Amino acid sequence: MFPEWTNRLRGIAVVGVLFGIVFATLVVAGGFSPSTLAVGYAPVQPIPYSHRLHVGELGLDCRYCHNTVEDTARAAIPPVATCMNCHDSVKTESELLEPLRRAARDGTSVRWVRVHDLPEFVYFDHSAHLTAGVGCVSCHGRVDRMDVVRQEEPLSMGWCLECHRAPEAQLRPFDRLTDLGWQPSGDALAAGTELAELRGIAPSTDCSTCHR
Amino acid sequence: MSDSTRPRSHAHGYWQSLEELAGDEAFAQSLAREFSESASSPLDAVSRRGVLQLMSASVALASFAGCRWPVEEIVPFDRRPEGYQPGKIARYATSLVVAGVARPVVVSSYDGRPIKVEGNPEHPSSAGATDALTQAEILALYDPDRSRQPVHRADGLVRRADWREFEAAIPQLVAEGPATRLAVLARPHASATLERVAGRLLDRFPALRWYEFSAGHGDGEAEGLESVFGRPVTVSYDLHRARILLDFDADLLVTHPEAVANARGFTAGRHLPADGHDASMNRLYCFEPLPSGTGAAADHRVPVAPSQIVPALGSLAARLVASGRLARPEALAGFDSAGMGVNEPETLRATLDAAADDLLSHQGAGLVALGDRHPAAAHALAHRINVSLGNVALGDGTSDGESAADEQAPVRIRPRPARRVPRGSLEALTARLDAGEIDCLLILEGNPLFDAPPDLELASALAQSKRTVHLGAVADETANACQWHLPLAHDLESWGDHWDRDGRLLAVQPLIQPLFDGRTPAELLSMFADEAPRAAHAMVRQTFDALYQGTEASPDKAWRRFLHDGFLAGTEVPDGALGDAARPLEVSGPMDWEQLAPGASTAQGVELDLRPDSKVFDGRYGNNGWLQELPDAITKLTWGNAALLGPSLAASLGVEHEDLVSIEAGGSELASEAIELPVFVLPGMARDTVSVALGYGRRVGRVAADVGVDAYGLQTAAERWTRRGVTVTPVGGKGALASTQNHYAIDSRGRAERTRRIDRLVREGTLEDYRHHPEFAQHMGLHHPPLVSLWTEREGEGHQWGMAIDLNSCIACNACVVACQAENNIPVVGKDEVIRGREMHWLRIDRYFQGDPDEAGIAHQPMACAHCELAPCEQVCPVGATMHNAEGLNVMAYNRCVGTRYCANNCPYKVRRFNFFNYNEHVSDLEQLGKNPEVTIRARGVMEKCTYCVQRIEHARIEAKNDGRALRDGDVVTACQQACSTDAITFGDLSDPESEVSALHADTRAYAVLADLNIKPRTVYLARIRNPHPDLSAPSSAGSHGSHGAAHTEPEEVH
Repeated sequence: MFPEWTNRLRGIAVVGVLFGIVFATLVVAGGFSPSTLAVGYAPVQPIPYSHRLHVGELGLDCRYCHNTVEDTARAAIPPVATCMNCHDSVKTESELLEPLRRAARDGTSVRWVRVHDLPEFVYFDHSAHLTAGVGCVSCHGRVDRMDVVRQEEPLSMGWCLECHRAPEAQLRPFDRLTDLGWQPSGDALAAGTELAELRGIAPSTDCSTCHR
Repeated sequence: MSDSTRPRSHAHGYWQSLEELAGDEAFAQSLAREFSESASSPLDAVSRRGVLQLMSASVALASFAGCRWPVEEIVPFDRRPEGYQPGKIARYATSLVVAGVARPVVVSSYDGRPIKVEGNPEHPSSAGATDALTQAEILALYDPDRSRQPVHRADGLVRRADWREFEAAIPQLVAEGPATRLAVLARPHASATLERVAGRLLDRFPALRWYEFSAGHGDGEAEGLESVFGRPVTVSYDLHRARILLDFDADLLVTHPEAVANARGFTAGRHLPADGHDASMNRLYCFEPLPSGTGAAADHRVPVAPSQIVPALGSLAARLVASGRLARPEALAGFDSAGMGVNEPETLRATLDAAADDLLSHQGAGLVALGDRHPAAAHALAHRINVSLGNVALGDGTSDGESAADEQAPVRIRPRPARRVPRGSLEALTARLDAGEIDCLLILEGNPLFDAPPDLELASALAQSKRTVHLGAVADETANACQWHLPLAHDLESWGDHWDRDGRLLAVQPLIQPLFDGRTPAELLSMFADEAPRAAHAMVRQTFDALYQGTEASPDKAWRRFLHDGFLAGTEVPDGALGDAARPLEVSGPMDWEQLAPGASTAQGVELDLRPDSKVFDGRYGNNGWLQELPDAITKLTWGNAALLGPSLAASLGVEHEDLVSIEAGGSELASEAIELPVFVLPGMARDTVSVALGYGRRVGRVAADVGVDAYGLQTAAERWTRRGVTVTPVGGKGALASTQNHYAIDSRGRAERTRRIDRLVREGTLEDYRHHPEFAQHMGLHHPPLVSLWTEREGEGHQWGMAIDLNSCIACNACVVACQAENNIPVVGKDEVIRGREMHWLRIDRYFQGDPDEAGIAHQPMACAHCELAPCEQVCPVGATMHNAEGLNVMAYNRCVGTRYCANNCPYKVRRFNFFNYNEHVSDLEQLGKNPEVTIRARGVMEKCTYCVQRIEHARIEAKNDGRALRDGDVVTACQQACSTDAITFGDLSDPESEVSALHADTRAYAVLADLNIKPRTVYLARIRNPHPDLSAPSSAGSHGSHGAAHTEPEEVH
């Protein structure tokens, strides 16, 4: 019924289907993974605010703007008034700051684009992590070197759990939480283990820790 | 002792419904199924093919959806208010008027939107607790039916307007100037500012008349009190001081205006020591036509027809007078019950004998309360009984302060806030309207066209008045008949104040800007009074400054404290009427007892009892989905009303459950229209009495409309609550009732086993049992061989959460059920879904009847996930969606759940709920504001259940860590526990031997339900103790178990 050469197709088809299955798995696993989709996400913001300039060069502490980070779940984005503390007198003519001045004038808000976006069914709490001694850099990377903030880490559940299972490497002295470039002198792991014991850090990996 | 004096001596144990008692086939089938039959039936209108099409479409859509979830914006403040932290819950003390009573509350606000109401823990009448209606008030704030702007009706044209237009129209509304015959129709209120502004209005319009009407309240009590004490007073009860309580159709614990404080006092008087030996309890007698929460909690409950309540009270008074032992016999001088038509069946006679005996031997520590639906003369009698027994604090002990007896008196009389504007009744208003003697009518909050007695013919009277203004939250039946309809601000959007029952001023402060440009009644009146200032804040501040007599350094400081605490010492109702040492409270001269003779209407036959519903009240909460879907404590009925009648009346009428009947209240010259509704056969109803809840059958409202049947048509102005000689006729056919009665009935093996099993589920004994065998509850379980675990038991780490529920305190008020719904974003599913058994409540209250169906005893048992240590649900989940955490919580990972429902099948408590639909798919932006952001919204196909409020545990844990301290006992309070007025629910850490919950788990009364399954539930129950009078004591469940109990004959003392 079919020409003889089609017999060879059987072998090719088997190999093709197997390849297809492997390929599809790899595409889904790799392609839809947060490490592919989320890492490196760096949306354009309404004002080209540079963390490199403000934090890296001018040396502002993270908590000057994100001042609720130690007390609440959220590291609140600063109100316009916080920016105007300085920009009332600094760079008052800058074209780029016009949206900020307009907001201050009209009493409106600046609509920033969220970069680090966890799903709604995850209940992350900044204050709990700072209380434990996890620094900003662990999740947000070297923001002090970014002109445009980008997502450094996948923020996937597996990634969270890595640290919840072995938090030692991420613990630091309380006065170094916002020091993005800080490195422990000597053995980092040993120092972290010591801190974990001192503070009684034993993160839970139960579902209910983050999902309610 | 004859059998009829033993209400609980029937051979049956507990049972859950009449179908079960009768061995109904359908009920047997329902037990055999894992869900009720309809719970797994396919969608009504969607075929299999249709579902497949939908599925393929959604797959196609999913593949085109973006690879990253939508871009989200962060919109910070322009200037963040000082002290404000985004995402942190802020709490404000305020008060809400619910069912006509101002409730001191603390409201949680999340990013500026109120999301949860709790009681004000500082205020003595709340002490942190609330009732079900108050819990549901959040939903009323976000009701999508709320009016958005003023509406003007003229010449058949309906037009949207705004407040400026309305203000411009005021001169025409009062065109006659100061001579305008202005009238106000309002609900009774206790607002100091509103009264003050009303006084200003009277200054400007001397012809002003003020009329009061509330369909949910009787008006006999105030009049009765005034006739006894000779001046305007209010009464309040301190139930914890009373050792003997008699409740005559007052439902003191659940629907009474002061129910929250009453319930707390009642349970305080029943607190039991853990070992039982020195246990003492108060004793509650309840006489009522249909079972109430109070009746279920009572030690003795006697069903009494509505017309026989007052004669029963008279019969009690006659016994007291005849005893010759009264402390102040002059209060009942000349009393004779001969003319009252007393007719006592055996049970009532024996119970009244016992009650009179108890009252006389506890003079000064007793209490007789009568429901507000009974006439003024009967209230006068009830208060005279209290005075004659020395139960009322009369303030005449010593010249400087109260006597010792007064301090202990359970009944307190206080001055009523002064009223400058005299009040009139709705009857008077309609008469004046008919006579054309009113130029302009303002209706402040109220819906009289729906809930006024029809024989007043208010609609036609109103139609004659051209100038009518209605201020209301929604465009209801009345709004649609008025020239102007104005949006009312919700209490959570308003400034205001209210006197509480003890005469303290409560603050009302806004948590949110008015969502729809609403105004308060005081603001509306100030527009007419042309008074400055007109802003509500300034008006309330002015009132406060004028009233404040306290000790704070400056008025500003006092005001800030007032707002912070929600109330403030130094703002009490000005004395003058009372507290005046020169003029102690005294009882006015002898009363004309002839007033107590039954009225002209003595028609025999079936009596109709009409009363406000326990959920939608007089109809004003009809648009609240939480309340509509809340199962009534006794009937377990949701979404509508029914003709409640007892088994014997049902048998004599030849009707069964859900049969449609027509009820016609003829007899008087005004034969009202008939209503048609389904029968609900309710054990424990008074004989020859049919009861219908008012407030249903609303004509407008997206939730309220056409739910249930409007029974106001059966009222007359003279007989609002009881009609005698009504005819009940079966009309054929059935009407569906959405009762959760038999849903989730806990199954144990086999029907025969079942009755005995229920005794094991809800255990109770008498005080006598408890004194002699404190551990009796331990022996009521199934005798079983030593239990061997099938599984490797895991050792917990850290806190071990557990709960204890004291059945001796629970009064089934339903506050916990609504609190749970509000806290955990539990959806409302609607009547059809409830009939299918798909209601979503995580916490339900099981109701069991006991004994003779006509005089049934009632027991309640709150039931939610017990977080079993060896949880059967976890063993059968194929995807690990329900797991145990280290602290002993049985947690749900919603994202893992694939909806097999195996877990619900394997749950012995039947507390798991499945999302058959995506109930949250079409939630409007407005309604979303009311959701709790701390709890995940569940989607379709996901199982859910009680989490022990895991969000509150995590919140408390993080707070404690941030403060650098360990979690303390009491840091974690679950939503149900917080709402509970009787502290029946205790939650805490079982690994802490000092915690309250540990002590309760070790209590002699503590038992686990279905412990023989070796599932080790973390929620245990404390057995209920009843305190029957020794002459009436019935063998209890505990008594039948061992040799102890009824055999004891030594006299009972109440201490």
